Amino acid sequence: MAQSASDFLQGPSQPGGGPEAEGPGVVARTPRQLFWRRFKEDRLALFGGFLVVFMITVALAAPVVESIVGHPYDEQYRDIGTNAFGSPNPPTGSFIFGFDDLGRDILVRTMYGARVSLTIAIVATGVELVIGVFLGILAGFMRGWVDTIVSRFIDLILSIPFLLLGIALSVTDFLGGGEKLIIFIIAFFGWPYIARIVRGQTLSLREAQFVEAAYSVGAPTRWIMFREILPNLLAPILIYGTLIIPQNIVGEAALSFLGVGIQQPTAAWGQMLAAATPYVALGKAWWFMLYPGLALFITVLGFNLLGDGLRDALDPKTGR
Amino acid sequence: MKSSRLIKLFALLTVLMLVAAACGGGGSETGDTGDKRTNEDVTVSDELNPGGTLRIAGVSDVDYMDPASQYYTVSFFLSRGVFRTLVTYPGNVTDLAAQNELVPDLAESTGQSNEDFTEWSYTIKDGVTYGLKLGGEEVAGVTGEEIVCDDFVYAFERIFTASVGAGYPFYYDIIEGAKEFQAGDADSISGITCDGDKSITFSLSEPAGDWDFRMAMPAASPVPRAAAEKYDKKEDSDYDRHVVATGPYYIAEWTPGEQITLERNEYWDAETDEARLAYPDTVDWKLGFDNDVGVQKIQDNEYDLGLDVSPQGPALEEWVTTPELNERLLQEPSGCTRYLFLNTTIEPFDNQAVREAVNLAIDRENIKRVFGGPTTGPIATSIVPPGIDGHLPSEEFNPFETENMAGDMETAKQMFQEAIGAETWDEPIKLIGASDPPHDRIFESVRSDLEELGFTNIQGKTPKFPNQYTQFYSVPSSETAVGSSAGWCKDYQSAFTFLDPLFHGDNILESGNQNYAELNDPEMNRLIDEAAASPLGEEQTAAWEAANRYATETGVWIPWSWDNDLIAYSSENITNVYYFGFHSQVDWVNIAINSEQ
Amino acid sequence: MFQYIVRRLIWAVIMTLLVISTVFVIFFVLPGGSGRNIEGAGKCSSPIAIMMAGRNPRPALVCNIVKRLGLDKPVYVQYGRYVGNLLQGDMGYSYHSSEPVRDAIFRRLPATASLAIGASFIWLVFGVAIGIVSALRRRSFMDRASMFFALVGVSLPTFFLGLVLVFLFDGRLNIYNVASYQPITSDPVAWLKSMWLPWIVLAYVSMAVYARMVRGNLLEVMGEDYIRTARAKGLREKSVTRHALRSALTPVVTMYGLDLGILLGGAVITESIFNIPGIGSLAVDAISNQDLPTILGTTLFAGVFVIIANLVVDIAYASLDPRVRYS
Repeated sequence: MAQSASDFLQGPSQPGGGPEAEGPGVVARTPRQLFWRRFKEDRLALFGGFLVVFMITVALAAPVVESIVGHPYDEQYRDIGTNAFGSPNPPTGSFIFGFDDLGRDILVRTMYGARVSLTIAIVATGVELVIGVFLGILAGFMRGWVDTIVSRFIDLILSIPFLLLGIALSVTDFLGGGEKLIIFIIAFFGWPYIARIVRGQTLSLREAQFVEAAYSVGAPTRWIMFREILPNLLAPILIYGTLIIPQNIVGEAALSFLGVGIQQPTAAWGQMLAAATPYVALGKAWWFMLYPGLALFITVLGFNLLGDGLRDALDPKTGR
Repeated sequence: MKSSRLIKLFALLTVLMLVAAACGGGGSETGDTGDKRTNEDVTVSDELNPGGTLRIAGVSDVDYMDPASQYYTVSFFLSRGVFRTLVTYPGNVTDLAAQNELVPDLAESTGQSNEDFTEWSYTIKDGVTYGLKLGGEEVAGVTGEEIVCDDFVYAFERIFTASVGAGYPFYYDIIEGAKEFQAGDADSISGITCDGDKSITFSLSEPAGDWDFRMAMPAASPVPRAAAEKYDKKEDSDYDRHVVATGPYYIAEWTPGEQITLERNEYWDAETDEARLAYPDTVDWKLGFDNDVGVQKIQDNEYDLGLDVSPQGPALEEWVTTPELNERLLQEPSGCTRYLFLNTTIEPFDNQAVREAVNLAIDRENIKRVFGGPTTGPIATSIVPPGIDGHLPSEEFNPFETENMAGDMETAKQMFQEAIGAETWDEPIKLIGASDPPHDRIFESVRSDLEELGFTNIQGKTPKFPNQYTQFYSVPSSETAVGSSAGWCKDYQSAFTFLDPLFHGDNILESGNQNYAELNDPEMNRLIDEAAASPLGEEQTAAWEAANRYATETGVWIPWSWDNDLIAYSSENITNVYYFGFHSQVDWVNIAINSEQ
Repeated sequence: MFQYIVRRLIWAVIMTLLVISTVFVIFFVLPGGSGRNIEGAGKCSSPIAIMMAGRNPRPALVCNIVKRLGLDKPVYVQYGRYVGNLLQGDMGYSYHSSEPVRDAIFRRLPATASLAIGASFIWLVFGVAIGIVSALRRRSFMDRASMFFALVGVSLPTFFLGLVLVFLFDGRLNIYNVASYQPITSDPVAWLKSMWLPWIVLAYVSMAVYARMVRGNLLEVMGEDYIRTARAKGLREKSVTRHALRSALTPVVTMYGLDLGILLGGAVITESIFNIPGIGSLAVDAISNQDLPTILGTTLFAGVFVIIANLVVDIAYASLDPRVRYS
C-alpha cells in the first residue's frame, strides 16, 4: 500500500545538477563532486550506508559464523532445541539467539536469511530497473499509442492485488516456485513504479536542447533514446533503485510470511516470523520472532536511510 | 446449485490433526500429564435439566445437509441430532467398546440376519414421524407423518441416483439390484423389499457381518419421496436445502460457512428414542472460526464446546500444563493414523529392504514432538489405530522398533547401503509435504532424516494443504516418491475402512487414488478380501489383525501417530460431556446445560 | 469532459476483464493450475474437482463435479459464462460453502471496512499533522523527533510490528485479545476494543509515509517562486502557509484515495495477524481451498476498488486541470 508513495517522491528535475550548482562566485564543482560533498555531510545517510554494509557482511559471513559456532543452518537439535510439546527452547550459552520450532539455531538461520533476502531484493530490483527503464523511456519518448499502452498496462498491474496473486501463483507450478517465483512476483509489481518515474523524466528530457540538437543532426531515434537520454537518467535510476530495494525486501518477507516461495530448509525472515506467530499471542518464544524481525528492520532501515541520503544529495530541494 | 461439495476429508484430517488429543501421562517435562480427562472420568446422568442453548464453536461447515451426500465428521456430528437411522450408536455410554454395541433407533430392534449375513430385516417403530424441514417450514404430506418402509426404499434409490451425488455408495452397492438400478436397467432396487409399511428387508449379494454399522450411517436415514423427489429430479439435486428432520432437532437456520441453528423438533417423541436425551432446546453453532480464536472463546467460556476447534501448538501446551484447563480437555483416541508413505512403483522404494531401512531411519519421536508432543496421541507402530477391530498395541506388535521410536540411523544406513549396493542414492526422489504448520515441520524432520540416510537428491515440495493430496498423493502420474503429510481416519469400527481403500491393489486409480503407495501385493489383497468376508467376531478380528500385520511389515507406510482427539469445552456451562467414538467428537445430543449459565 | 469520462470508463471495463483473465490464466492455463487436469491423470483430474470430491474422490464422482462446474468446457466458454453472469450481478456460488460469492464478500466487508477506514483516518490525520508541523518548524527538536519516528515507521513491516505489539499487549500485558473481533453492529465497545491495535499497526507505516511526503511537499512548495512573490508582496505568513498547504496537500488527497481503495480490497497480513474476518482473509482461504468463484470474486472486488479509486482521482484531476484530458 505504501508503495504508491513512490509515485509522489518527486524526481530530480535536472538530473546530476540543480540550481545550486552555480554557487555565488566560488570554485566551480562538477555535479558529482557536489553530490559527494552533500552526501558525506549527511550523517543519517552514512549511518544507513553503514547498516547496509553491516547486513551485507552478515550475509556474506553466514557460512563462516556457521562453521565457527558449529551449528549448520539446517541441523535440528532434537534433544535440546524443542521441549516435549515441540515449542522452541530459549537462548543458551552456545545458542545465543535460541532455537526455532525444529530445534535449529536462530542466529545462523537469521544470518542465512539475510542472504536470501538481499539476493532476492537485489535481483528483483535489477529486473525491475531493466524493464521499467526500457518501457519508461519508450513511453516517455514515443508518447502517443505506445505511451497509452504502457500506462494502461501499468494501471492494470497496479489494480491486481500483489499478495493474492503471489499466493495464487504459488499453488501452481509457475516457474517451479521458490526464489524464482518470488523474484517474478516482486519484479512484476515493481517495474511500473520505475517506469512511471523514468517516463516522467524522459518527457521533460526530450524537450531538452541537447535532444533537439541530436534531432537536428539527424540522429536515429534509438540512438537518441539510449545514447542521449539514458545516460542522463542514470543518477535517478541508481537512486530509485536504492529506494526500491527496501520495498522489495519487505515484499519478499511478506510473501514468505504468507508461505509463498521459499522452500525449507532454506531460511527466510518472513517464513521465520510466520512460524513464530502461534507463540506470539501467548507471550511465548520471543526470541523466535524478535531476531529475524530485527534483522529485517535493520536492513530496511539501512537502505531507506541510504536511499534518502542519495536522493537528497542529488536534489537538495526535497531534503531536510 | 447443489452447492458445494467440497468435502473436506482434508479438512477432516486437519481437524483431527489439529484436534490432537491425548493420551499421556506424566508431568510437563515429558509433555505427558498424569491427569488427563478421559471418558472414564465422566459420570453420565439421564436426569439432568432440559432447556437452554448449547453454543458450539466450529471451523468448518458441513459438507452437505443431505444425509446421502454427507461424508465428513462435522456433518455426521450434525446428523446425530437431526436424522435418525434404523439402528444407531447408544447414548450416555462412556465405555468406548460399549459405544459400538448398536441400539435400535427407528427400528424396534437391531437387524435380524440370516445365517450367512446376506439378508437383514428390520421392523420400523410406530410413532416415529417427520418434523420440519430446513428453515422451519412444514412439508405438506410429510411433516407429522409416520416413517414407513418406502422412505428407506427411496433413501437407497437416491444413493444410486446420479443427481444426488452420494458420499459412500460403496457400502451399499452389495444390495441386490443396486448396480442395475444405478445403471438405469431397473426401476427399483430388487434387494430392498417392504412387507407392509413397517417391515423392511435387505438382500445382499455378498455377506456383510457389519451391515448394522452401515445402516447406522447417516446415508441410511429415511427420506420421504414427497419431500425430496422434486429436487432430486433436477440435474443436480438441491434437496440439500430442504432436508426434513427426524431427530430431536430440526435445522432452523443454515448460513453456509457462518451459522447453523438447531431448534427442538416438536414431532420427535422422546419415548421412541433410547439414544438421545436432547436436553438443550437450541443449538447455536457458529462456524468459520479461526482455530486459535475458537479455542480462546471456549477458554473464556463464551462458547461451550469446540467441534473442529481444538488447542494446538503452544495453546495445547498451555491447556495441558494449566490444571484448570487440563480438566476441561477431553482426550480420547480418534481412530486416525498419520503416516508417511513410500511409493512402491518408484525406485528404490520398490525394494522391501529399502523401505524397511527407511522405517528404521525415520525419527518418529521427533515428528510426534514437532506435531505437538505425546498429548496428540501415541506414536503409531502399525497401521490400524486403537479402538478399531484389527488394531495391534505397540507392546504386541512393533516390527520396526527403535528406542523411543526415535529411529536407529546406524542400522538403517547399513541396511540401506546393502539394499542399494552403494553408499548413497543419487537419483532424484520427490518428497511432498505441505506448507502449513505443523506439516512444514514434519516435512523438514523427514527430509533431514532421508538426507542423512543417504538420499542426496531430494526434490522437496510443500504445497498448501490439502493440495499435497489433490495434486500429488492421489495422482500416480505425479510420481511422488515419499509423502510426508498423509493421514486417514476410520469410517466405522472396522479395519476394512483402512485396509481396503488404502492397501488393496484393486483400488489404485489414475486420479483420486488413495492407495498412495500403489501397493499391489497379491498376498495383501488376499488377506483383505478374506478378512472382509469372514464372519463378524473373533474370526474377523483375527483376520484383520493378520492383514494389519502384513500391511505394516511391507514397510510402505511409516505410521507415526495414532491421533488423540482433544476436545475443549466449558465445564462451567455444560455437563454430561463424553467422547463419542463414531464421530470422533462428543455426543452432543446428550449434553446438558448447567442451569446457572 | 464527458468524452474523457466515457473513455476512462471504457478503460475501467477493459481492466476489469483483464483482471478476471489473469485469474483464469492462473487456474486454467498455467501448468499446475487447479482447473486443469493433472498431466497423465485422466480426463477428470482437475485438483479443484478432486478436492471437492472429498474423502473418497472416485473418478465417477470427480467427473460429476467436473461436469457440474463446467470445468470440462473450453476456458473461453467458462470465461464467457462468468462474465455473462457477472453482467447480471451474479458472481457465482462458492465451491467451498455454496454460498453466493457476493453475499460472502458483503458479509466480510464490514470487518475490512472497519480496519481500512479506522486506520486510514488515523494515518491521514496524524501523518498530515506531523508533516505540517515538521515542515513549519524545520530542524526543531519536534521535526527531528517526528522524522525519526517516521523513518522507523517506513522501515518497520506491518507483520513484524504487528507481532511485536501482539506479543506485548496480548501475550504479556493482557490488555488486548487477538481473538476478539466483534462487528460494530453487535457491540460497538467490543468492536473498538478489538480494532485499536490493528488500526495502530496498519496506520503506522502509512502515517510515516504521509508525514514525510507532506513535509517534503510543503518544503518544496515554500521554496517556489510564487510563494516568494507572495511573501515579498507582504502577505501575512498565515496566508502564505495556507496557499502553500493547498498545493502541497493535493497529491496527499490523491494518494489517500488510492491507498484507501487498495485497503478496502482487503488487508491480507493485518487481517491474518489479528484474526479479522475480512475480505483479505476470505481471499486467502479461497486460494487454499481452490475456491475459484470466491478467488475471482475477491480479486475482482479488490481490483475494482483500485480501478474506481484511480478513476475518481483521474476525473477529479481532469476537472481541475483541463490539460490532463489531452495528455
